[in-house]
Amino acid sequence: MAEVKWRQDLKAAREEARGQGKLVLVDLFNPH
Amino acid sequence: MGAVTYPEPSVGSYIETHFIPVQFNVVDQPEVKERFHAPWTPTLIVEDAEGREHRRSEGYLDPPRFLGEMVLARLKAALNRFDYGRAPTLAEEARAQTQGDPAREPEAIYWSAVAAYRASDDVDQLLQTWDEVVGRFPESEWGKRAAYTRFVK
Repeated sequence: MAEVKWRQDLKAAREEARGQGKLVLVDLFNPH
Repeated sequence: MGAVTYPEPSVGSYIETHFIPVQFNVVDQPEVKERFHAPWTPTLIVEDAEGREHRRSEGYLDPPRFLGEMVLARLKAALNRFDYGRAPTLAEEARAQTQGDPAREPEAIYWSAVAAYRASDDVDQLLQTWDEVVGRFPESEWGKRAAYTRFVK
């Protein structure tokens, strides 16, 4: 398992993190 | 990050194992810069499910330094949430992952001393481990902070 499955919905990600006992990693990036 | 760090299998595996990853393109969504008080990219923020921020990194990180940041984030999140059962294990992981990284190894040792102290109340062990930071990394930020021990002995 290597590919990161990035989410775009922070609220949903927090809910997912709560359910799985994980932390949320937020990445702000500029594609240029 | 997207070209080198994230495609690295150990990085992808670590993220998927320990985090729910969220990504925002600041060109398509410029409002996220204000939302996260983040004027620069890449910016990495580790927060818990309640939205409490535990660590932030600005600027590019290669895979080893990224993994060091992430384990330090997990360690700080455990300490910040008074999870002293998990913190010592994460501290050992942080020390191993940051070995040879002059920016992060001293910090990992510093917090490993705190994690052990919170779990054991053994102040001698705290001071001994901080002495290691001062001895090995006297000019680092964390060496300077740990030098506090020199005044309390």
